Amino acid sequence: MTAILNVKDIHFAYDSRPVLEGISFELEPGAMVGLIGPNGSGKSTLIKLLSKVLRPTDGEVRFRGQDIDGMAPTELARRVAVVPQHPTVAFSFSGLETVTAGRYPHIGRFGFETQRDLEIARHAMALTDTIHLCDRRIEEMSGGEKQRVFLARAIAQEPELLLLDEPTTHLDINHQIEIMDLIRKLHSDRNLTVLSVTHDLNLAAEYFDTLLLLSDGALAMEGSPSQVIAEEVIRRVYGANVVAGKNPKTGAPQLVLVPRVPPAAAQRKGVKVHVICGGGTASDLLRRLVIEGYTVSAGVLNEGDSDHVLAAALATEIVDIPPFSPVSDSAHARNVELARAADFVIVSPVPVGEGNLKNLEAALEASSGGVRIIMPSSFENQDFCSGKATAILRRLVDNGAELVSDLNRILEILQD
Amino acid sequence: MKNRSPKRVKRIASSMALLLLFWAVIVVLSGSIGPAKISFGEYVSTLCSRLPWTARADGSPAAHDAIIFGIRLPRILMASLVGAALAVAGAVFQGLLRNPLAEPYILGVSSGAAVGATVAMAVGLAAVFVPLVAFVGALLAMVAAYQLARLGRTVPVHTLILAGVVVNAFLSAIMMFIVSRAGDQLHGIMFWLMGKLEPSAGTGAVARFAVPLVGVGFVLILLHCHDLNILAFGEESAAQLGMRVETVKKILFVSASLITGVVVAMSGMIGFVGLIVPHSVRLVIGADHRSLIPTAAIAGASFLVIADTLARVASVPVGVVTALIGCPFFAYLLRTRRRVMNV
Repeated sequence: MTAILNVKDIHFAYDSRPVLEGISFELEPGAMVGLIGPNGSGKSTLIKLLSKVLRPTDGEVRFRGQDIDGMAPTELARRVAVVPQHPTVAFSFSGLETVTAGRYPHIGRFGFETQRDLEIARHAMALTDTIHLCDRRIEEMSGGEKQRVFLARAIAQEPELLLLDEPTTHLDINHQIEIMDLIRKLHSDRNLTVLSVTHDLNLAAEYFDTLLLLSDGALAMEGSPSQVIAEEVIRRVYGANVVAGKNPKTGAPQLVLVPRVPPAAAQRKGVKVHVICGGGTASDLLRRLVIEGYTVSAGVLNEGDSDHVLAAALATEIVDIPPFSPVSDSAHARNVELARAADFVIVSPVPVGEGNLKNLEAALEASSGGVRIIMPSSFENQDFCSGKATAILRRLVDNGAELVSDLNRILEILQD
Repeated sequence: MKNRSPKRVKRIASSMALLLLFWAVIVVLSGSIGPAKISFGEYVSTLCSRLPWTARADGSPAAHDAIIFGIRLPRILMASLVGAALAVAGAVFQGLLRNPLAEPYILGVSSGAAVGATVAMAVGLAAVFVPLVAFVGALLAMVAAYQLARLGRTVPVHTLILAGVVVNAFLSAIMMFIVSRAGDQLHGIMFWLMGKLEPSAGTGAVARFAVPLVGVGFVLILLHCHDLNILAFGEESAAQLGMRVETVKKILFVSASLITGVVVAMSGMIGFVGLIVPHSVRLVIGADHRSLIPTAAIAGASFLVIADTLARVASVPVGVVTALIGCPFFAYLLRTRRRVMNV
């Protein structure tokens, strides 16, 4: 059985920017194939190459064995019809006028439709349930109606191959299902070969026998929906976090999105992190810890200190003292309490002077109690009290404190 | 696209016949108006004297005959030709460029003609040659705009509009420069720029070429009316429906520029006809170019004949009249009808 469409190693580039590199595939007559892939993978470009809007820079496309490059545009248009992504009309045409335009490749030079052409157009409108839109102006139609009218136009061309460029992207979910059901019905009733670009992976899995997955201008995979709509495949090609399931009614593979904030955030609540900071040195850290779901406390901070302001806004527990005053005994005691109760104590690159030296002592006490300490690898730059801070920080290191230089590393440590 | 319901076809055929009749009536009536004192009765008998089956009574004065058949009717027929050409060219450019502001002068053809005419007059060429030089100027401007916009084998429509703006602006500046230096010839130049339909020394000779050229342009355009409809879906869709888009664009562009260049070379820049007549017709009968273009031709012819008659009576340039009566009428249509274009 000769393939209806034979795409051999086509390449295409816009000026110097390559878009498609070495695409090859075959469409058997009567196949219903979906073309999927991330934005910029070249799907729309491929449709244009198959309908002779663009010429490949290399390779060839054959329709029933004949090179389309040598075919007259009307000849190809009698065999291949395209339903565009954004149906637009510059003038106010009626539904029937729009659908009748599909007879263009069949009409002679003088451009008048015969009675038969009009019948074919009306029949196409009946098939797409748009017959009631014959006299409606195109600009007065809804998105779904317009899409069905343009589908009728393609049907009126009486093609063997139907190309669709994202027929459902701008439609409501009810219209999406409606259009796909209609396409599938037309495909089986009229024995059309269908190649449709789609953005919606679940619709793709549901309606197509074969899927072509494009990635970065190359064909990453060709196979059945269960082969292509698979977790590892989609994760790799799209870089999206998905989980595969099955449609409970039809058994088709379905993908479920997984947002980036992991469900483990709930578990993290139990993990307590105490932050010793000040002077704005822990602003990113505090924010990320709270977003990631940890139970965060901070101390001892002077009121008015920028880390204090942020911590208060993030509603973490704070041990605080009046502005410009040194750490009081009661504050220190509370600080130690929190530090020892925590799972992790993080020391930020806060400059340490006589006034807040006690905060490091709190860290040390927590360290002796087995609490894991994380501190900056550049800790020697923090000392502003003649080496006393450095001494304590060194002892923390001896006790097994982990030295880090960036935030992501901190988060990794916390996840262990 | 004609819904072949017999009612619709009949309606279109009858409205076109009506319009043609309207134009004929306008022509006949306008012939009776003019500075020479010829009563309506005398006018009618002069007209009838030319009919083969009417015997010449006691012969109308030769003077009347000369005025009516030598001056008025030729001028009226020229007005018809110019009006039809401008309206058709305007409709074609609007469809080709898919832009409601498009009109025959948008691509610089008229400025080219104007520069040609201005140069010819400033240099003091015999009046016979002025239209010729104007036409050459029009052609050069057309080629310049086209080449400026061309990208390999394609001519993107948006670029073409901008190229036209550039060509227009540049040529207008040159024209202004020449006018500022012209001195004595200034008066003549200004009248040419505002449009004049009086036959002058060269008109007869030019008309011999003009009429067939415009005829060829019309035929080419009529053959591509259906294509203009399809182009409304965008060039990509048109290509996917089987049109050789670049070829069609080229033919339409050249035809419309040709007929514009010819009539501007003959009668100067008469404004508003090419913009307003197509829109008005489209608002009334719809956007199917197969009926729009022929109707616009007749409507344009009638409109300009009326405008010219009024211009003669009021002794103002015809371009002034077209603006003064065209704009309020179009404003009325805009208020009472649906959208002009779906851009």
